[in-house]
Amino acid sequence: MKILWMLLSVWLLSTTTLAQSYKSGLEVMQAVQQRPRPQSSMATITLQISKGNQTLSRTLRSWNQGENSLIKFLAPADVRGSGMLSTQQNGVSEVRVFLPTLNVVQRLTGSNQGNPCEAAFFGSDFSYCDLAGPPIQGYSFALLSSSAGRYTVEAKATQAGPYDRLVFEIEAATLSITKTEYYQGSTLLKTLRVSEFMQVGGYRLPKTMVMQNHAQKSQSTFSQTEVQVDVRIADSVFTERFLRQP
Amino acid sequence: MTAWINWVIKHSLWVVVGFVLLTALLMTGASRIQLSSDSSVFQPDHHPLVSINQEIRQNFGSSENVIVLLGGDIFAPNTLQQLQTLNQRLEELPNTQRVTSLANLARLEQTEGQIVSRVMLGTPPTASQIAELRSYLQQQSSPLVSADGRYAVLIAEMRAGANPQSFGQAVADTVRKSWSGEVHMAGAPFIIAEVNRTIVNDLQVIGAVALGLILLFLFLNFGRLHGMLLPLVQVFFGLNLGLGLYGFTGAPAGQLTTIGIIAVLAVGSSFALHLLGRFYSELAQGRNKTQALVATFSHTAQGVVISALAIVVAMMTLWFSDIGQLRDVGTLIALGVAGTLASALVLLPALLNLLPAPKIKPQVPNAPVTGGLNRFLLGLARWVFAHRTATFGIAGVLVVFGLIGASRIEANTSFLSFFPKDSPTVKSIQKVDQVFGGSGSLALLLEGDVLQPQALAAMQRFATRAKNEIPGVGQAVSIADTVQTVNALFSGQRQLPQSREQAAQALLVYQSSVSSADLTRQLSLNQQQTLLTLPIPLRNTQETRRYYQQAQSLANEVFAGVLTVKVGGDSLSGLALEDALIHDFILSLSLAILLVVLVDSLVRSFRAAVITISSLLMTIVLQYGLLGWLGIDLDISTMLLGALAIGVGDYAIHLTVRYLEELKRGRTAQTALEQTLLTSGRSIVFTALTLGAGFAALSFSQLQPVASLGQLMVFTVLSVGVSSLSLLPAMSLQFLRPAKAAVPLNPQEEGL
Repeated sequence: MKILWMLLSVWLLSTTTLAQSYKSGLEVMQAVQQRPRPQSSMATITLQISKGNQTLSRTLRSWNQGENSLIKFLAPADVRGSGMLSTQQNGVSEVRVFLPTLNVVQRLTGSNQGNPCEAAFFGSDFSYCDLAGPPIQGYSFALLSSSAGRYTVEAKATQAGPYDRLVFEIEAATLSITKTEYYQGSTLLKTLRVSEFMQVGGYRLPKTMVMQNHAQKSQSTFSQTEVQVDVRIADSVFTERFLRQP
Repeated sequence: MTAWINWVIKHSLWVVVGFVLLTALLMTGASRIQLSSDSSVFQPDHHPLVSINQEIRQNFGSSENVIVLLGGDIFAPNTLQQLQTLNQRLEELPNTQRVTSLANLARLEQTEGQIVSRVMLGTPPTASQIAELRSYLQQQSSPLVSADGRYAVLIAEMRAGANPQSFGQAVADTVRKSWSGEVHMAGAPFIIAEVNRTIVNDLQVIGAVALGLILLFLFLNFGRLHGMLLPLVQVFFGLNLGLGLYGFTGAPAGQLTTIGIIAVLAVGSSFALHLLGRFYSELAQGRNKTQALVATFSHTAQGVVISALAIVVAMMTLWFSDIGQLRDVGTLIALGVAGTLASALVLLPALLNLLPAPKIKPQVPNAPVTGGLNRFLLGLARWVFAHRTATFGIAGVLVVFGLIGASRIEANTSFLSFFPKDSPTVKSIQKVDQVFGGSGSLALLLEGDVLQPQALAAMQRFATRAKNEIPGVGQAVSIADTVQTVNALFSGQRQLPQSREQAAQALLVYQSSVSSADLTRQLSLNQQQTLLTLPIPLRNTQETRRYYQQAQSLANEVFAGVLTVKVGGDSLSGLALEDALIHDFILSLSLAILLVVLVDSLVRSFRAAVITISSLLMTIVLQYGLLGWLGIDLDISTMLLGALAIGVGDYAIHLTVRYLEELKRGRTAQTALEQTLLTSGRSIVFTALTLGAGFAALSFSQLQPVASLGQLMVFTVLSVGVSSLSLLPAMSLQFLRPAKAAVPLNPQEEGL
């Protein structure tokens, strides 16, 4: 759940970032991580999963602030009104799920979320880790090239994880990650492309991201519209009462 | 042919150099051949079951599992700890998607208003955790442990797109290293790994055995190193030429490649056998090396060319097969035989010309026939001449015997039939089937509004009735189970949702953290298709067909008016293969007969072609009769028997070629026959023995169909030999006349 918040904060890029020369892969990735990020956000997200000649499309509205986040499904009609609320109090995370047909809110414990790097975001080809942006911990970095206004950085896993290697393509001027390749051994598992960016509140945010899953031969598109950042969201939004509201 | 041999004699050195260089160049193609033992290579291109399976794979992905059965006192703390270690090691394998066993079994429960997913065993497991696990498993009737607690089941699921062979091998190695007790395995990656291991072993062992036996019979025939080594050189270059060309086609090596290579080895050496036999015979008659070469290649080469073309066209008929691997093996043998023919007609005469002529004992005209074999052949020729009607009668009786046997043939194309019935692999799979309730599965592709309550209820009704009404099947799994489990956590009642929306929302919770592969494992993205899986034991195709028909019938009844249903599943690939095989068998055999008659008619005469093929057909009828009488299954390998016999057995052609040649030279029918049997007959005996020895090597294969094919091909080439020396001479006497007026022989030549 917190992933939507992380998505908006980590994948963004401030327009004020100055072009600067970095000597190593680690320096580039640290610079990417250290960009300013919004304190809160609201957005309408369309998630489209395609495989073969079939497509599943879902639209949801998200609210993120601090450690709290909420999503509510707007479409398709059969899941409209369903929602998930993620909160954290005293270091303990809690997820509550509301299903309108049963008019029931259920709490899920953290263990239900599974390993965020293994679990996918609502059946899409994005894992929660993919959406969380580039990792720093558990990886060593190498700057493969820096030419034509673009850095290519390779991240190699130093401990067991879902990917052995990642290769990032980063715009030097904006420090935006435009493409990420995910490898297991020598096999290219997935490719993420940020196909479109947008300017919101002084931040450069990804508008559309496409994840191609080469192994599963499927593709997921994550698009966000009606994005607002750094707006104060009332605490009442992150409550069971608001979760139940249609 | 005479002009050709004269040209080769004139440019022998350059011919050898050019041929060796060309072969070396083309041999680079052989390095492109990849080993592939994927079961999909046996799937026909066009079959309703294959289309259903493709639709299932496209919409639901393919789930390849290795099912591991682990023996021991499963609920003992140290056994469970060993299981936890194994579970973890398998999870760490690079191509593992997930591992499911008691070690990571999670209990989904509702406690104090929360839904909790809790792994039941800690590390190390405590007595209370084990007691709770036992009690939970009894309530759930989980397939992860046998009822008596003596076997645990572990399922290792392969990551999509990974190589099943290397995954199966890695799982098998890890399990054997990590588990001290009894181990049994099943599942496609495991079987593929076993088949692959066997192919590699077969190619090394059988190739060496076949080569050794062929060389032995060549030495027994000619009694000299010259006659043994030259065919070896000829076959080596010819085979490599063929393999190189095969590599350039991009086709892989598979389960049937061993058969192809042995067939080329055996057939290729038979070319040299006939040519060298004639060459030595000409030298024995006092001709010098050049004269002997011209005589050999002007007369005997015709038979070799027709024989080779017959094999090539017989194998090319496999191109019309719907099964990729049969097309590939047809291509391999056709190219290999073409390569060995080229080597026999180009390299062999050039080498014979360059090497010093071997010392041959001169043949004295009118000298009495010596040697046991020669005396037998002469006696046989005289018996056939005197008893041709009796020969036809015996042949007729054998044909009837063969036809009755052929009517008893049963097909079995199960992947399991690749292994001997008492092999460790089969026993392992059977044990898994027995404890787990079926390592194979049927997949019911259900279409319609699958989330409607009545559709979900029908799925559960089908699962219950299948378990009760189809003996041997396991517990069916469907999306209804998932929906019911999640719905129960929210509603507090273990029941199916009351509306479509309720089902969709329950699924949304399930889908909140699963991957796209998990999402589409049971339900298509458009939610109009779902997959119901029914475990069935992996048996022969007849039993699988029975399960298929029973499941189809039950599904038609249960889902009538609710959902449309198509029954598929990888376990049914064998049925599709069986149907295609019968079609291919009839097509390839008929085409092979027609094409061989056509080729022979163009080179010689229609009458000679029909007579030669008739003799062959009798042996093919006998061959399939034997298959039926001995209860050997018709499978992917034994199906090849007919086309192989037509091609390989066409050495009978040499007999009619020689008989007509002798008639043309003015001999009477009786002396022509006697001379034919003493010359070509002798070559036919050794060709049959050499080919038989080559195919006998296949009997050492650990792949059951290859071994059966080897045994039957030995019978075939030997019976073609017997038929060529008895029935064919009788038919030749009855129906063959020289096309041109005979040139009278001088009295000295007439005698034997």
